Formats: sequence, C-alpha cells, structure tokens
Amino acid sequence: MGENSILKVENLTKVFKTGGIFFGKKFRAVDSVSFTLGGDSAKIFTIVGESGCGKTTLARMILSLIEPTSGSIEILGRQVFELSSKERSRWLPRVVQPVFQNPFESFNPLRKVYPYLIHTAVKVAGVEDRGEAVELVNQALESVRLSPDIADRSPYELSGGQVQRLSIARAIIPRPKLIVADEPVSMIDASLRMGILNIFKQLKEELGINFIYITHDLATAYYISDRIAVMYKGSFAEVGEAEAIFREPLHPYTQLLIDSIPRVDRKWAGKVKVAVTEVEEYLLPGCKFADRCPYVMEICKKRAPPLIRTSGGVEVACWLYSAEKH
Amino acid sequence: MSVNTLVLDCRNVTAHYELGYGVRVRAVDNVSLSVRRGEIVGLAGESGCGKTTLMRTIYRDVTPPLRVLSGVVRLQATDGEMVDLYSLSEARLREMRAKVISYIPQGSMSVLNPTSRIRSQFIEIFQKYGGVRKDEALRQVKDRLRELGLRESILNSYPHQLSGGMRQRTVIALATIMNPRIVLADEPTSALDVVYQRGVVEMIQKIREMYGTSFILVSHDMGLHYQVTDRIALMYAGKIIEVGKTDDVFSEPLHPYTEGLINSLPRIGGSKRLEGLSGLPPSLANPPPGCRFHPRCPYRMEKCAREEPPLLKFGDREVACWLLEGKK
Repeated sequence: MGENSILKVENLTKVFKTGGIFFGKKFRAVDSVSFTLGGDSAKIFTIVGESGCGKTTLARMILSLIEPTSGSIEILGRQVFELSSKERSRWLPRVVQPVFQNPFESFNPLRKVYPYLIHTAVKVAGVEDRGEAVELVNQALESVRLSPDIADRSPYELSGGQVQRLSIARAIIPRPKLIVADEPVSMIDASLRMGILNIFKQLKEELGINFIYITHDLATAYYISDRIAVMYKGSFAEVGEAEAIFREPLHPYTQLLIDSIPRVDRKWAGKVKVAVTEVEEYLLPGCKFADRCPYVMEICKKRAPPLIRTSGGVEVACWLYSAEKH
Repeated sequence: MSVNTLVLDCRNVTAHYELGYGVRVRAVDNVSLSVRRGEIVGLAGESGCGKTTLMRTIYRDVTPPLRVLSGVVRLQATDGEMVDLYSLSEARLREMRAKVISYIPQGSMSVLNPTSRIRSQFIEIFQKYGGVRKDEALRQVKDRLRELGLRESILNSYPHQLSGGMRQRTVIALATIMNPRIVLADEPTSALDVVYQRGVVEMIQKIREMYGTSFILVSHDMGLHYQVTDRIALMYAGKIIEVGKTDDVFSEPLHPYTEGLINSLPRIGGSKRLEGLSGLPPSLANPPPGCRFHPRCPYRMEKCAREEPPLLKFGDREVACWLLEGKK
C-alpha cells in the first residue's frame, strides 16, 4: 500500500479502569486492534458490533479525541501521537473529520448554521478569501443536496435528517481524506436513512473521501461497505470484503450476528443462545466469545486466537481456522 | 373460546395534545384498531407519528395536555364481556391494568425500581393484585421464570446488574405475571443489539403460545415486524394508513407510504440502489389538508390535497388511499 496509505492502526489498545481506586478492575475496551485503510480508490470501511464492543472508543482514538493506552495511529504516513500540538489543531482537522450520531449536538442551537459553516471554511480549511469560502460552503451544501437557504436557519427549525446532512457538509468543507462517522443514521427515520447513506457513497466516488462507518446495523453496513470488521468485546473477530463476510461468515459470532438480523426477506429459524452478563466476558483469558460459542474447544478458554488469514482473503480470529488447534 | 375473539377493540379514537394558545397536536386522529386473542399486532411508523400516544390512549394513561376527544376503547374483561375502558371507575381500572391489560413503556430501566431487588418487585405485584401470601407468591414467580427460561438468580439482582437484554426480558416477565389478556409493548427491543433482540422476541412468542396472550408491538423497525407480527398497522402523521396480514403487506404494500418505506429497506444480498422517500413527515400541529402523505406521495392526484381518504376495506386489508377507490 505504501504511498497510498490513508490510515494505519497498529496494536491499538485502550484500557479503562472501573470501580474504586483500590479495588478497581481494568477493562480493555479496545484490545490490540490493527488495520490499514488506503489503496488506489477511496473505500468505506465499516466497523460493526454490539453496543459496548469498543467501536466508539476506537473511533474516538482515530479522531484523536482520546489517547490510546498503547499502540500507534498513522495518518497519511505521519504518526498522530508524534505531531506537535500546532499540527494537531491545524493539519489533522484538514485530513480527518468526524460525523457524530446526534446531529443536533454538532451545532450550537442558538446560532444559525451558515455562519458556522463559513467559519469552518476560514478557520479549519484555511481559506482566506471570503468569496472563496462562500463558494466552498455552497459546494459542500450542494454535495449533500441542501439549498443554501436551509443553512441560513437555526438547527431547531430543521429535521434530524437535514441537520445530519449539514454536519456532513461541515465535515467535507476542509476536503478531508477520511471521515469517521459514528452511528450517523441511527437517529434518522427509516424513510430518510438511505438518502444519507447514498451521500456517503457519492462523496467516496466523486471526492475520493474514505469513510470509517461505525454501526450496529448490519443491513446498512452491507448496503454501503467495501470492507467490514466485526468487532466483539474489544477485538476484531473477522475482517474482510463485505460481500465475502455476508455470503459466508466464518467466525461463530459473525454467524450468530448475521442470523439474528431481522431481515425483511427471510424469517428466523431455530433459537438463539443469549449471553448472561456483559462485563464478565471481558475478563475471560481466552477467546471472549467462548462462553456463547457452540463450537468451543479447550484452547479457546485458555488463549485468545490471533487473526488468521483464510484462503478467501478474510481474516478471522478463531481457533477453528487455525492449523494449531491443540 | 374461538380464535377470533376480540380482546381489544378501539374505534375512531381521536386524542390531541392541547398546548394552549390554540396549538393542538393531532397525535391520534380517528384511529381504529382491533386485536384478537393470541395475536401479535405490530404498530409501525416513524418517530413522532403518534404510536406511543395511541398506546397511552388504549391504556387510558391520559393526562393533560393529552385529551381524548372521541372514540371508544373496549377491552375483553372476562370471557364474552367487553367493557368500555373509559367508563370504568378508577378502582376497576386499576384492577384491569394488572389482570387484563398491561403496558410496557419504552426503556426498561425506567420501569424497574433501581433501588430494590427484582425479587421484591415481583412480590409487590403479586401482593397487590394476586391476594396470596409472600411464600406462595415467590413460588409462583419462580415457576413462571422457569417456564420462560429465565434463571432464578435474577431475583437476587438489582436492575443495573442485569444486561440490557436480560433486563428487558425481566420486565416482560413482570408485566405478564398476572396473565393479562393483552400487553402493549412500546419499542421493547429498540435499545438492544440484534442477538439480544432475538432473545426478547422469542420470549414474547413463548408467552403468546403458553398463555394465549395478545400483544401490540410498537416498533419503528420494519424487520422486527416482519419477523414477529401476525398483522401490521402502519401509522403516518397520527393516522393508520394501512392494516393487513404482515406477510401480505410486505409482499404487496398498497399504500404509497408503505410501499416507499418497504422499498427503502436495505436487503442483504441485494445490490439495488435504494432511495429514501423524498420530503419530511409533517408537523402534527399543522398537518397538510386532505391526505397527510400527499406532499411526499409520488402518485398524488388533485383530490388528495382536498379530501382525506377513509380507511377502505379490501378483504382483510384496510388502506387509506384514493388510488384504491372503487377497486376491489
């Protein structure tokens, strides 16, 4: 990948402490996650998982909103945690931009949106000429299919779908290489969701913006992703081309997840085994899915499986696919 | 008792929020819905379309600014006896609320008392409505948990110690412990991940099979409706615009809104580019004249902006759309 590498994440780990000062437990919210994003054309890379699997923590580390406990993040060949504070506040926002779940929290409710977008063009994108800033903002609004007069209102006058489009427009003003979108459509009504996801596809194709799409919704993940990582209790269980993973899920957790989607074209068959509690599993020494796994072996309870590359190109963290089973 | 016995019959109910200064939010407007014994009826629609207000109206949980302006809600109190919920005394209503109709509002954490153990919450209900001694109540609760496949140890837990999926199943067990005829479940799985969601749904289906309980399942998730419900009612801007057998509605949606909604759902394995519906749901304080969907409707006619379409019956399907006028 070399030259075209947009993002390279290596052994990224975040440990949170829970409980009191003396008897607190450590809790690995993100545990040694590695992946790269880049290549000849822009991609949509989706991280899918249940609530509490660490996907938002991972996103926040990539956005430099929280510091990792260990590991490294390289953006366009530069180590993020070696950047000077000036570069972090100037260069980084021009390269990586966020889109959050609740669009109303992205904007000051008392301020009209348009001046804020102009401010973004001047301060973040570094445009000096006022006319050029207006041009840039109008282009961004056109990309998300909003007319400039909508941006001339206050956020509370607009619907959730419109405000989310505005926050996407804001994110593309600096022409970033990467947008990290954390559950961007989960608060949007079903009839308007596809419109927003289509904008992501279009921005990828027309402006060459890469996306990290964080979601719990597998159906929308299938709809827009090029590649998918299935995250379970802090680690990637399976990573690969979206098409391959949905066609033939390898990890028993991915299989359970895909089987549990309330599809609109096929009914559920059989019963599902549900985990007892949540935090306990984080403290298991071996594979964190061992307790719920129908194929559990002795080794699974003792050692965590590494990511194993299969012949189909998919990487899966499961001893079932390892030559070294016992 | 025949399978077709009505458990709930709600006719032409109109309930508005009267906010003063002439502002009136028409959250439920001339809505009729019936539920038969052992049936799971889905209520679908986008946020703010009146689903929860309709549930509150059916439960007679009506406090200002919400006001019921017209309509009748009848419930089957005993076999063969339908009573008008709004004509009951407060005391009789309280009794009905445990034994005949149960309501599970959205957000399980807000239903359970965070400061007491699950055990005492079950026993409290039993002592209030069951008229049995504490040890007998506990025995019955344990039996019920076993029947539903829940571990007895949850009784010793506080609500926050349970996972979201387990807590929601506990709430459902609690709401059905007195064997109500009908349960109104408002978004029972919306905060849960798909795997836990499936566990909750399996429990609802089990309760229906074992005790013949009817459910109204409120959800914005069309996939959930397809998986679980027998019949589905679609609500748009305070009105029910289509009702029918779930499989029929999904295979052949008749109302343009239903059609748009179902066609915008992503399908795994499908490669079609999907378009959402254009436009936005209307404000319920100032809904458009005529059909409330007409500003977004791709098939709108002149008549749609003038006159409101009634809910027309086609076999066991009901649809409120002028396109279908005169068709059979």
